[in-house]
Order: sequence, then C-alpha cells, then structure tokens
Amino acid sequence: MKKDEKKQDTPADIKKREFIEKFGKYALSAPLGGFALMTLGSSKAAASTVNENGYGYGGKYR
Amino acid sequence: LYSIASSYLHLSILANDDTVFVWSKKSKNLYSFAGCYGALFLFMEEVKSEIPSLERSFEKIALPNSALTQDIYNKIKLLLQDREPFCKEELYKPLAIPSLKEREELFGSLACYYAYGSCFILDIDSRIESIKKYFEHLLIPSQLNCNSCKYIFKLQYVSDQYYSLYINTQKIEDALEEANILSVLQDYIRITLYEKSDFCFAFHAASFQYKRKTLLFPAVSGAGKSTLSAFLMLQTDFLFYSDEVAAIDSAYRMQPLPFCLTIKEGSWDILHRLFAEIESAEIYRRLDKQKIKFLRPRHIAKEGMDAQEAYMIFPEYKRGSKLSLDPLSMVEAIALLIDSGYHLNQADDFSSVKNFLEYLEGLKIYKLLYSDLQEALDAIKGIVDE
Repeated sequence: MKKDEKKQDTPADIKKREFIEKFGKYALSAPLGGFALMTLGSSKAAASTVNENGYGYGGKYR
Repeated sequence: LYSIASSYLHLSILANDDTVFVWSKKSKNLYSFAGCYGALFLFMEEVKSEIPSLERSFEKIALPNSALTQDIYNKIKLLLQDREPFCKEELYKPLAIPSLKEREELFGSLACYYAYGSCFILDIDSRIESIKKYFEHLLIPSQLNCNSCKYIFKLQYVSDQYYSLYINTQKIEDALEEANILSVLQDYIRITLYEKSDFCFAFHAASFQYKRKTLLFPAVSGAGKSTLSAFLMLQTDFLFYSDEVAAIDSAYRMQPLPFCLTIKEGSWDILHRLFAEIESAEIYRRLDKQKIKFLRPRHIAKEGMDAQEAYMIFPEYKRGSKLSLDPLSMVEAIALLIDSGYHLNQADDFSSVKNFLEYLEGLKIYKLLYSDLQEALDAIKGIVDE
C-alpha cells in the first residue's frame, strides 16, 4: 500500500464507530445498558413441558 | 438489524440502533449487549491485538461504575478470547418418535383429530376413555377421510390405576397415575405436533389474534397467563391460538395449537363466575401435584391467518397492584423470554438466530402488571387499537 493511500471505512465500520460514539464518554444521552445471554436452542424451562430432566415450560415440573 | 464484520472468526455480530447481538459459532450462545454495553463490546472487539483494559474502556465509553459492568467486561473478554465458560446444560433434544408404520388397522376404527398441520389418533384404554372429550374440538368431521395420520397416542392400562403412554410404537412413559394422565397426554401431543413441524421458534406463551394483530403473552408459570387467556377467550374479537406454546412458522405466522387451558386451583374461584363448566369439571393433577381443571378453548383462530402487526406482552398478576403497561426493549424481552421459556429450531444455524432477532425487532413489546382482568383487557385493547 502506498503511503498516501488510506484504508476506506466500510459502511459497517462507520456504523460501528457511530454506535460507540452514541454511548461514548461525552455522549449527551444517559448511559443506559442491558445484557442478556441466551443459550440456544432453548432455556432449561423450555421446549418441553415434560422433558426428561423433569423441567417444563415455566418451571420445574416434577 | 445490520451485520458488523468481525476479525474474530468465531463470532457473528448484528446490531440495531441501540443493541449489539453477538453469536458464538462455538458455544451457540447469543449475547445481547444494550446501550453502553453494546458500545463496550464494539470498543473491545475493535483491536484484536490487545483487548483494552476496563480502565481504558471507562475513558472511552459512558459506563456505570458497577459490579454489572465488571461482570460484562469479563464476559466479553472471555468471549473474544474464545474461552467462554463451559455450559453444563446440554441442548434440548426433541422427542424421538418412530414414523407410523404399524397399526394402520386402527385408521378405520378410531376417530381422527387434527391440529398444527397433523392428524393423530387417540387409542385410549376404555377405563379412562372419558378424557377424549377434552379433545373433541379437534375431531375431524366423520365425512372427511383422514389419509395422512402421523401419530397414534396410546394409553395402555398397566395395573393399579397406572398407565403407559406410547407415541406410535415408542413407549414414552410407563407408570402414569390416572390423575396425571390428561395433563401429560395433552403436553405430549402439543410438543409432538409443533416439534415435528417446520416451526422456526416457539415461546412458552398464550397467543391470540385480535383485529388482525397477533398477541403473544409469554410468562413464567404462576404469572396469571392462563387466567388472562381464559378471560380474553370470552371476548368474541379475540381469536385463540394457544394457551401454552406459541409456535411461529417460517413465514412468521402463528399457527393454532388450541388445546384445553389448564386452570390451577388458585384461579377456579375467579373463573367459575365466568365459565359455568369450571365448577363441575373433574380435578386432575400436574406431575408437580398441583390441582388443575381443564377448560375447552373458544373462538379458535383459523390456520394461516395473516396479521398486520404483532405484540408481545409479558403479563404478571399481582393482587392489589395498580395497572401498568410499559414498553420494553429487545434485551429486556430476551431476558424475560429466557425465564419464561423459548425454543429455537435449528439453533446451531446463524440464519435461524437472525430470523429470531428480526422477528423480535418487529414486535411491539410491553410488560403488563395487573390485578383486575377487565382493566388488563382495556389496557391491551388501548395499545392495540391505537
């Protein structure tokens, strides 16, 4: 790459930077945050009301 | 949702205006980072050669100085380093059911039922045959031939009021007490029908169609979902899909799984004023010993109904509480779905995860706190009619 050539930002790079700036140190908006971790493809309480572990939708079943 | 290219080959990243979703190809876990935590992830992910320290992240991102921030920072670091903690829980395996080859002789002698794209037969021991009445609304009219029956659910008497349950030729349960039979049978039929279909994802949720809009009510057990469902079912403009599992097909359409509602003892008093049959209904039990009665569905939705919009409303009954109906973010909804129950088909495929997130993004999501059913109904109509 020549010295005067600059790597072009992709639209994804721009979006990424915008996202970081939106919640950056000097952003005007309040720092709201949230987190969730989903283990796929089902929560332990999911998929079956009568699966072999005895768990059902919404709670232990037996 | 838009994709973000990552130099970490084991990760796929999607984002919208305020949330970053990261899927690990290795663990199949889906991480949702909202707001400043989304920015934290992107900041840490940007430089592969050296993951920034938390102190450096504080200089760049407006993060709260809290234990949660520290915890999320640690999770992101492990995720980027491909060192996620080992998950002890195995992925749920759907029921293994052999295809129907034998017992075709039954086709002519037993009635055929239909739900969720499949026909099935109930081969019930004569001692407990009366439970068939709870499936009557699913009966195929006798003038229609059933040529595509996929499942036979057989309850066979063993001894001392114990029964075995077979699905096709596969023995599923071998010592079911009579009091538990209806609850277990209904669950297995429902699970079999949706799991063996081309469903994309399913939630532990009641579901209705109202004025060409789909309403989903996901909830943990005991949140008042079935009581609310029963009340909504009385309204002629609410069409019933399901009380237990809301299964969404590949066209993002809800399909009816209209089995009986299971009403727990705590709701009998409230509902017997509205449904005369509750008082005289037989008492059954769930496997956890809770007493239940079964309530037949009314105003069942038809298959293949299109909806213009979809709402996801997390109901919670709290005695004496003031009614509230507040919007939720996608991440808040995902956190609640983790508790209440979800099931993604083909969960090891990123396109399935993307479909799931796109579906959620298209929903209007609320949390409903209520103590009065009529107030809850009015509030739901209020937001949907807007």
